[in-house]
Amino acid sequence: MTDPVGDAVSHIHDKLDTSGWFNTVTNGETKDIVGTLTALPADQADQTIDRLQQSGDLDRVADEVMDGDWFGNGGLSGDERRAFLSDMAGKLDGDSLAALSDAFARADNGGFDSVTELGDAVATHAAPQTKVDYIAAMKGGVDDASQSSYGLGYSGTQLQDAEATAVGDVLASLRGSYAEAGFNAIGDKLSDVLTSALDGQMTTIASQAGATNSITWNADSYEAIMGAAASMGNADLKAQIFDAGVHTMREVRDTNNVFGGLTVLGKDDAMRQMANGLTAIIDSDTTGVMDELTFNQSTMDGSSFAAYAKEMLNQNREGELGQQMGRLQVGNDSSENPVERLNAVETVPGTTQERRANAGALGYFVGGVYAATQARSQDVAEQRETVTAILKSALTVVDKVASLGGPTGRVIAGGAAVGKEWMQIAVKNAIADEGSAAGIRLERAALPVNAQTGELGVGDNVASAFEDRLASVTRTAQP
Amino acid sequence: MLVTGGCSGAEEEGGFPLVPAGLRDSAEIPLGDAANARMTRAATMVRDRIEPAWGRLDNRLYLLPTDRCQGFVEELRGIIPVGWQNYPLDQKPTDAKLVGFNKGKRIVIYLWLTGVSRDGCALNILHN
Repeated sequence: MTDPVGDAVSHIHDKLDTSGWFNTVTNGETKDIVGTLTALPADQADQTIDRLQQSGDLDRVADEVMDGDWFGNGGLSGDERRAFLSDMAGKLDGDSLAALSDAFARADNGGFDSVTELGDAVATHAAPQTKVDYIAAMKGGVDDASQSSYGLGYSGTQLQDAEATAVGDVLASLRGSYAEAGFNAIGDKLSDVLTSALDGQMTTIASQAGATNSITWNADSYEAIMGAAASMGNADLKAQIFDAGVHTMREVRDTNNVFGGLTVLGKDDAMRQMANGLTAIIDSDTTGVMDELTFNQSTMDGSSFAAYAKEMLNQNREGELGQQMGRLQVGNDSSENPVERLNAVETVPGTTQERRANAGALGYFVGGVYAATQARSQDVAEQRETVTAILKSALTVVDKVASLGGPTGRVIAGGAAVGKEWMQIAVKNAIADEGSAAGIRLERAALPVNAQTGELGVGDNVASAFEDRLASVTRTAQP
Repeated sequence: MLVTGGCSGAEEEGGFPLVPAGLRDSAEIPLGDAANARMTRAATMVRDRIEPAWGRLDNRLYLLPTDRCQGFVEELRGIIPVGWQNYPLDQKPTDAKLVGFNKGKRIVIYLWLTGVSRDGCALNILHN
C-alpha cells in the first residue's frame, strides 16, 4: 500500500541529513525538498507539513529555504521562495500555514521578510475560511515588536511586527462574513495589527554634522483593513474597529509631540489614507455605526469620533461629514421621514427602558463635530465656513428624499414629503444664520422645523434625547 | 449583560477600588432616555466640580440591583479599601446621590439615581 505522505516525509528527512564530513544540504537538495512538497496534492501536503512540524524537520526546511550560504549550498532565490509560499498558501490549512510561518520566523535568515511574504501569499491564494483559521492560529505571535537594522552610519527601525503585518494583509483580503470572522479571530490584538499596518520606518543617519532622525509611513495596508471592515454587516464590530483605527491614527497625528526633533515624511498622505479608511467604515452604514458609537460605553464619550471629525476638517472634507449628518437625518438611503425616524423608539438591551436611538445618535454626531470644530480653530470666521460647508452638504442628502413625483423617481408618502420639507427648513435656516455660533448652527440644523409654526417639528422626547447626547459629548469628547 | 464580581476592600490594577460585586455591567449604556437625561445632568455637575482640580474623569455606567439602592452609601463605606478616605462633596443633585473617596492623587465618585426602576438604579462610577 502506498504512503505518499510517509514517503515525502522520509525523502525530505533524508535530504536534510547533514551527518558525516562536508555533508551540507545543497541548493539542489533544497529545491528537491520544495519540489517534493509542491508536487503533493493539498491534503497530502498539509499532512506532510504537520508531520514535519512534529518531527522538528519543518524548522530545518525553513532554514534551508532561507539559507544564505554560497558555493551551491544556499537556499531559494526570492522568486523561488515566493513561488513555494504561494503553492503552500493554496494547499495548507490555517494551522499548518501558521506553523510554516513560525518556522520561517525562527529560521537563521528568516524573520520579517519570509513571514510577511507568506502572509501575502495567504492573502492572495488561500480560501476565505483558511484565511480566518490562519489569523486565529497566528494571533499568539502578534505583538507590537519592532525590527531594527544597522549599517554604516545609519540605524533603521521598522515599526512593524512580522506576524501582525502578515495578519493585516490577510485581514485586508477578507470580505463580508469572512471579514467579520477574521476580525473576531484577531480580537484584542487588532491594535497591534493596525500599528504594523502603518509600515512605519524610523531612520537615524549619522554624519559629521550630527545625527538626523526621520520617520515615514505607508498606510496602504491600514486603509485596506478598514475596507475589509466596511464590507461587514455587523455595525457593532465596525464601530469597535473604527475606535481602534482612530487610536492608531492618533499615534501618527501626535508623533511630532512624541518624538521631538524628527523629520516626518509622508505624514499627510498617511493621515489621508487613514481618514479614507475610517470614512469607508462610517459610510458603509452611517446610521448603524453611529448608533453603536453613541451607545457603546467604550466610545460614548465621543473622543474617537471627534478625533476623526477633526482630522476630516483638517483635510477640508466637510462635505463628507455633512453627508453623514444628512444620513442620520433621513436614513442611509435618503428614504425616511426625518420626523418619524427621530421619534423611533427602541428598548435598551437587557432593560425595560426606552430610548430614541436615532435622535441620540444625531446628538452624538453634532456634539462630536462641534468638539472637533472647537478643537481645531477658535477663529470664528473659519468655524463659520466649516459649519456652512457641512450643512450645505447635509442639505444635498436631505434633498434626495423624493417628494411625490420627485426627481429621483421614488414615490413616498405625503408625511415623508412634509418631514423632508421641515428638515430642509431647519438646515437652510442654519445655513443662513451665519451670525450665530458654530455649535448653535449645527444644533439648529439637526432637528426638523415645523413649516407652519416655525417651532421644532419633533416632540420634547426627541429633543431631550438629542440634547442629552449632544451635551454629554460636548462635555467629554477629547478630539 | 454581565454581573460584576470581586472582593470587597480590594484595589484593581490601576489602583482604584474594585467595582462592587453584583452590579449589572454591559457593553452598551444601560439607560433609557429618561434616566440618561438625569444622569447626564448630575454627571456634568460632578465633572464641573471635580475635573478642574483632579483632572479628566473617565466613567462607566452600571445597574445596581433594586434592593441595594437604599443602603448603597453604607455598603460603599463598608467595602472601600484601606487608605481611601471620604471626599466631601457639596453638590446636591435633586434626583441622585453621590459619594466620593480619594487616596493621594486618585479620586473615585459613585453617582446613582435615586429613582428605582424595575431594572435597578442607574449607577455611574467616575474616576480620574
